[in-house]
Formats: sequence, structure tokens, C-alpha cells
Amino acid sequence: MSLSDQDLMPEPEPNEMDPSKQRRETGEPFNVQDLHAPIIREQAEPRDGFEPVPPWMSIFYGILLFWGGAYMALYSGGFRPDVYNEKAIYFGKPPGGADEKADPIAVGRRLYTVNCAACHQASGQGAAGKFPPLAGSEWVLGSPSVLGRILLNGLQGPVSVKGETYNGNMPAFGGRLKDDEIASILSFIRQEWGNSAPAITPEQIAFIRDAVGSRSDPWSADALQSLPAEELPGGDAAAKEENSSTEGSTKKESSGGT
Amino acid sequence: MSDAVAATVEWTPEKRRAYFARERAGIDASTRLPVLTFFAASVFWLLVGTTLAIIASVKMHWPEFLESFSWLTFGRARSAHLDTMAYGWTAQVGLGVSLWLIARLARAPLRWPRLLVGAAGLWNAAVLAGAIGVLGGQMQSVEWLEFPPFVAPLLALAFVVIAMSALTTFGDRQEGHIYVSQWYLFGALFWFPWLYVVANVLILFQPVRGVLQASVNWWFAHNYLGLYLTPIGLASAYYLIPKVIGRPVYSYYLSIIGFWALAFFYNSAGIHHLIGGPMPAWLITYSIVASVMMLIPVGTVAINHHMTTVNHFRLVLYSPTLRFIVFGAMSYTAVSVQGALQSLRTVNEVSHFTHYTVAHAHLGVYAFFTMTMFGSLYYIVPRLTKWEWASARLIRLHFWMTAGGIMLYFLSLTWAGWYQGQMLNDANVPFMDIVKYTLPYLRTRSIAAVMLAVGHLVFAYLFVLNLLHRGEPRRDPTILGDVKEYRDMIGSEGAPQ
Amino acid sequence: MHAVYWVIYGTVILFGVTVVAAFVWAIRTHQFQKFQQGAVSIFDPDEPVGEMTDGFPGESGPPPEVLDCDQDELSKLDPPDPTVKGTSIRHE
Ligand code: HEC
Repeated sequence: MSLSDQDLMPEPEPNEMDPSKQRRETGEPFNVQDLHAPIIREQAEPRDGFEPVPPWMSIFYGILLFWGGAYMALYSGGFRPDVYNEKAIYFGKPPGGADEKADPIAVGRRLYTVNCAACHQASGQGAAGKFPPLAGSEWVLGSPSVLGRILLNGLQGPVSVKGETYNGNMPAFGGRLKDDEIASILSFIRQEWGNSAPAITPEQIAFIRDAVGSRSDPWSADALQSLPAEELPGGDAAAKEENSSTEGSTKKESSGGT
Repeated sequence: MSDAVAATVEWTPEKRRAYFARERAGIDASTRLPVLTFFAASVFWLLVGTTLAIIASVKMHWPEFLESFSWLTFGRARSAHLDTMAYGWTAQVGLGVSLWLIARLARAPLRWPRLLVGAAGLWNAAVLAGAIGVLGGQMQSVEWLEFPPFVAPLLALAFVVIAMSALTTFGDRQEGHIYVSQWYLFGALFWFPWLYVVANVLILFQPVRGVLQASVNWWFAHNYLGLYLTPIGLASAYYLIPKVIGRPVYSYYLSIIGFWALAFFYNSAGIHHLIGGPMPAWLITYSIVASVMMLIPVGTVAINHHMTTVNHFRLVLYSPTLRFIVFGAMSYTAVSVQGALQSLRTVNEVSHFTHYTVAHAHLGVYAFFTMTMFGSLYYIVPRLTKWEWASARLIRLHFWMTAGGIMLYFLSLTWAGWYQGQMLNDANVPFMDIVKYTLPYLRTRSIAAVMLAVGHLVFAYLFVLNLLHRGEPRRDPTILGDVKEYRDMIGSEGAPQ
Repeated sequence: MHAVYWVIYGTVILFGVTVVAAFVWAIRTHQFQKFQQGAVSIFDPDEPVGEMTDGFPGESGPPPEVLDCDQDELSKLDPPDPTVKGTSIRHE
């Protein structure tokens, strides 16, 4: 049995086969706008089918993957099922017990490293003749009102620390750091390197910020020393309460120090 | 014997051409009944969903509107809108497009067309029962799974039948190469039952406890978009953009990377809906990273579609399909980049629980998926009904109403949502001020909804005309070959395979 | 063990196995080779590369030069042969 081509494949009527072709051949003339087509096509045609990933894309993907890994490592709460705050564990440090809030001293240490260590050094010893020490400094251990002002507005002009005179420029941090951050840093420097003075609360800093008002010039040591005494919120009681675990040797902090 | 026959035929270019034209027409014809059933039903639900959308939208700024109908309170109308759109419109139109694509790409006739019509009937009965349940107050308080529990097994059963038919058709394939669209489609057909069954079991039938329910919920809801609608939309774009323009996709290699990256990352992204919630930190962080990593598959798709269309953008003037699908593909890039940014904690703090999220969702489901589906329907339906669309002007009207409507919708709610979020985060702003601030934008949203509704009505009208073979008969590229001849040809002599 | 665990672990394992199986299958059937032919597998002699297949009803199509595609690359590929199963791309 053999089939003719005709049986197998009935030849379609030409115009049924591809009306589009036909329309294109016999159709009306194209309008003027179409004449621009060749000009528009001047751009090189991309090749079809197989194009490898463009290099800039591979680089972008690499950066993305790196970011993803870093983000996972930093904000995963140690992959613990009971940690809900992604910032509670930072660089593998365990969370501060049941309390959700981060330990102010630990936060203070981190902020100190970032903001102050460049000048006052990680050891808190400063640099001879240029940057005064914080360890054992009467300014640090002294009145929170004075210390808070130094941080908020900066300090300029001659100042004597531990018997030595410095004449430099301490930048203002009031615009850069929030009250609770400043409080954490100050609490940290008052209790590190053998220093022991009561912690400072964010409310106290807020109070000082208020009292300072819109002042933007740095303080001079003299101006600070002649400040009238002020009553800080929470006062001694709160500070003592919080600090009772450490040595309570410097209790008359409010007015002393100068 | 057929080999012998084939060998005797002299394959001139014209005969080759005729052979493929007929084969394609025959395959299209085999999908006609089930696919048109799905399309017709989905267009019906589109109109229902649009009506509910307008009701819900108007109630946001005019609470007294229809206040005496308990069936149409905001909570019910809004959920019924979501469910009819999700399971009535998107799921079904997606299934219709998938079945057509699967048969075409396998170059094999669709299996069990009648059974598929039965499955479509079951699916629609279930959606109807579910929608009535939601409006009547039997709603489950789980977003995206509001249908009363008895609906879930019905939907799952219908879906499994459909997926089996698709798989069997795939098994019959004549084409050795698995085109990228097929990867996406099988992903979608395989992932949906898995997602749907697991989510229903773990939330409604064997409920897990506490916040775990929320995480299962959002794993499901986000993956419904990401692992069901997105692959179908992309499959259709990957087939139709090259096919309409008449040039292969720019880099097939990129498209394969895109598929596997989507499969790898998307599944983990859903938990970003719970940022700030009582979830273990690592789970949220993990989902944020996965969400941002979605830029990888999205980037590949964007480059691929852009480079395929580049120099040919003018063709959107000539092809309704291309016009809708290019709009959809661009929206896909936009919505994905937005989504990646929105999953970052700092952005999410502002955008969460605001209209911003609503705008984002519509950019995905409407501007990307629905527009892509409209484009696909413009291509597929004439090939099934063998009848051209009745009016080019109405198609253009449809496009401008929907494209304009969704842009208006997106812009107004995104703007309103962002400021709403910032005000919500500021404890000094009274709540009523925020509500008042958003009112004009909510009214704009209702206007946008009406524009979309007009577009949908126009489309439904065109669709019905086409089904009824109304309008001027035309000879156009879409009407080719004849099924019966093809069947005879294949049937009688086992023509060249 | 609670039924929930069966559901969770069961589906995770099922899913993982399918993914691996699909991937292995794809490699063994050479799905990751010959990308260029893969890209043209949706065209055939009747709807070849370079021809637009959609248009507004009743309107003339685009000017032909818009459709011109660089055919050089593609002409290097075998034309599909209807007498062979799996015509657009052949592996075995
Ligand atoms: C740019 C370098 C620099 C940085 C950064 C800096 N300081 Fe200072 N600091 C100085 C200088 C210089 C002085 C002395 C000012 C003067 O001589 O008028 C000073 C003085 C002080 C004093 C008073 C003197 C003393 O030693 O008790 C304190 C307290 C202090 N700084 C704390 C801090 C803290 C806390 C930080 C971080 C938030 C910080 N400083 C960051 C340079 C710096």
C-alpha cells in the first residue's frame, strides 16, 4: 500500500496557509512613520539564544550573596528559638538574660569603641599632651552635669586633668548621639579602667540637654567649673540603686569633682 | 510502516510548513473544551471579584454605603473579593493558560479533555460554595484561606486531576527539549497542591499552635503568589514574547538560572510578612535574606525579557498580546524590586500595616499577573475559537483602562501608605488625623477600581462575542488549519510522528 | 509522634526528593546543554523566527523591517525535520 503525497498532506490553499504573509505582501503601503524603522534599528542587535550572565551581573549577585551571609550572621539571634530581638545577640555575645533590653554598659563599650577610642584610646589613657585620659580623670568621676555638657557641646581651651594641662578640641556629640547612647557611654567610662562612679541615666542627659538649650559653642573648663549646682532627675537614689553592686565609694558625686 | 511512508514523502519547505501548521492546529483544538471552560469561568469570577472590590473600596471612605446588608460588610466583602479573585480568577485563568501551553510545548494533544471539564466544574462549585460561605459569615479568620474548611479538599482534588492530565500530556511529548516555560509550569502544578494541602492541614484540620499558625499562613499566602501565580505568568511571558516577536529569547541560559533561583529562594520569603512579630529572630532574618535574594532570578528575567524585546518595542503598537505582556513583565521587575526593599526591617517598620502593602500586592497580582494573563488570552482564545477578536478599538480601550487604572491605584496607595506609616510611627499624631489624611487617596482608589471594572467589562464583552463568533469574520494569522483534517491525517495513516 | 510532624517532615522529604530527582533527570537528558537550540525549540517552519504571530484584528501588521532578525546565527541550526520525533532538538 502506498500513499501519494496528496493523501498524506492535503495541500492547503495558499491564502489559508498564511494570511499574514499575504497581507504583508498585498497590504496597503506603510505610513511615513514606518520609514523611520531602519533608523531606529541602527543599534546593534543582541545575539539570540545563548548569552552568558553579563559580568556586572555576576558581580552584583556576588555582592548580594555576601550581604545575605553577613546579614544572617549578624541578626539571627544566635539561631536560638527563644530570641526574638534580632539585635539581642551581636557577634555571638549571649543575650542579657531574661531582660530584653541590652545592657547599657555593653552598649556603652561598643559606642565608645566607635566614637571615642580614636582619641582617648581603648585603654582610656588618652595620648600624652594631646588627648587627656579618662581613666581616673576627675572630670569623668565628677558631676554628671558637667560631664554631660562636655559630651553634648564639646570642650575647648585649656583644661587640667590629673594635674596636667591640655589645650585641645573635644568635638560635640549632642547632634550625633541620642540621650540613651550618651548615657550608656558615660556609664561605661565611669565604671571602666578601675573607675567607679554611679551610672548616668538617659533621663539625666535629657534634662541636661534641656538646660543647655540651643547652645552650640563648646564649653571652656572655666565655664563648666562655675556652673551653678543643679538637681538632676532620678538623682542620687536611682544612680545609687543601680550601682549598688559595684563599689559605692564615690557617693557624694553631685557636687564634688572640681 | 509509517517510517516507510514518511521516507517516500518529499519534504518541500511548503509541506513542512503545512505539516507544522496542521499539527499545531490539532493540538490547539484538543485543548479547546477544557481551556475555554476555564477561561469562561475565570472571566465570570473576574467580574464578581471586581464588583466585590468596588464595594469594599467604597466602604473604606463611605462607611454607610450598603450598610444594611450584613452579607456585604467590609470584612466579608473584602475577603470575598480576595478569594474570588484568587481562586476564581487567577487560579483558573492560570490553569487554562497552563494546559494550553503544556500541550503546545509538548507538541502533543491534551489528555482527558472531558475529565478536565469535570475538574473545572468541581473547582467552580467549590469556589462558589466558598464565596457564599465567606459572604454568609462562615469565614475562617486566616487570610487567603477564608473559605469554610470543607472547600479545601474539593479544590485540592480538582487540582490533582488537572495536574495529572498535564503530566500525562507531558509524557506524550514529541519535543525532546524542555522549554523554560515547561519548567515553570511544572513547578507551579507541583507546588500548588503541596502548599495548599499542607497549609490547610496545619491550619484548619490539625492546627499547629500559636504563632506557628501565622508562619504557616504567610508561608502559604506568599507562596501562592510566588510559587503558583508567578511561574505561570513567567511561563506565559517566556513563551509569548519570543513567539509574538518572532525571535528566540535573548539568553536561554539566563532563563534557566532564573528558574532554579526562584525555586530555591522564593519558598523561604513568606515570613517577612511577620517582621516585628513574636517570631524567632533568625526565622525573620532568614526570610528577609531570601526576599532580597529574589533579586537574582528577577534580574535574570528582567534582562532576558528586556533584551528580547529591545529594538522591537514598537511591536506593542501592533500586537495586543505583546502590549499586555510587556506591561506585565515590566511590572514583574518593579514589584519584585519593591518587594525586596520592602522586606528590609527599616522599610518594613514604616510600610507594614498600611495601604503601601495593599498597593504592592496589586502591583504583583494585577499589574504583573493579570495583565500577563489578558495578553495570553488575546493570543490563545482566537486559536481555540477560530474566530478573531471583534474590535481593535475595544482591545485598546481595555488596555488603557486597566493599565491606567492600576497605575492610578498603585501610585495613590503607595504614596498614602508611606505617609500613613510614618504618621503611625509618630506617637504624637492623633489616629483620626491619619485616617483623614488617607481619605482622598482612598477615593482615588475607588476611581481606579471603576476604571479597572470598565476594562473588565469590555474584555468580558469581547470574550463573549468571540465565543459566539460574532463580529466580522476575518482572515488573520491566528486562524490556521483545521482540526478534523489533522485528526484524519494522524488517525488514518499514522503520519510522520 | 504527633500527626503534625508527619505532615511537616513527610512533605519536606517528599519535596526535597522530587527536586533532586528533577535536577538529576534534567542533567541526564541534557536539558542544560545546547541552550541556543533550546531557545528556538518553540519555533517551527510554519511560525519561523522573524515572523510576528499576533496583531490587532483587521489592521495591517508592522513593517517588515521591524521583524528582520539576524538569521545568520539561526541558519547554522538544523531545520526541524517532521519525520523525526523530537524534531526541534535532537540529543540521542
Ligand atoms: C577628636 C578627638 C576626640 C574625640 C573623638 C573625643 N574626645 Fe574627649 N577630649 C578630646 C580633647 C582634645 C579633650 C581635651 C579638651 C581641651 O583640652 O579643651 C577631651 C576631653 C574630654 C573629657 C574631659 C577631660 C577628661 O579627660 O576627663 C572627657 C570626659 C571626654 N573628652 C570624653 C570623651 C568621650 C566620652 C568621647 C566619645 C564620645 C570623646 N571624649 C571623644 C578629644 C576627643
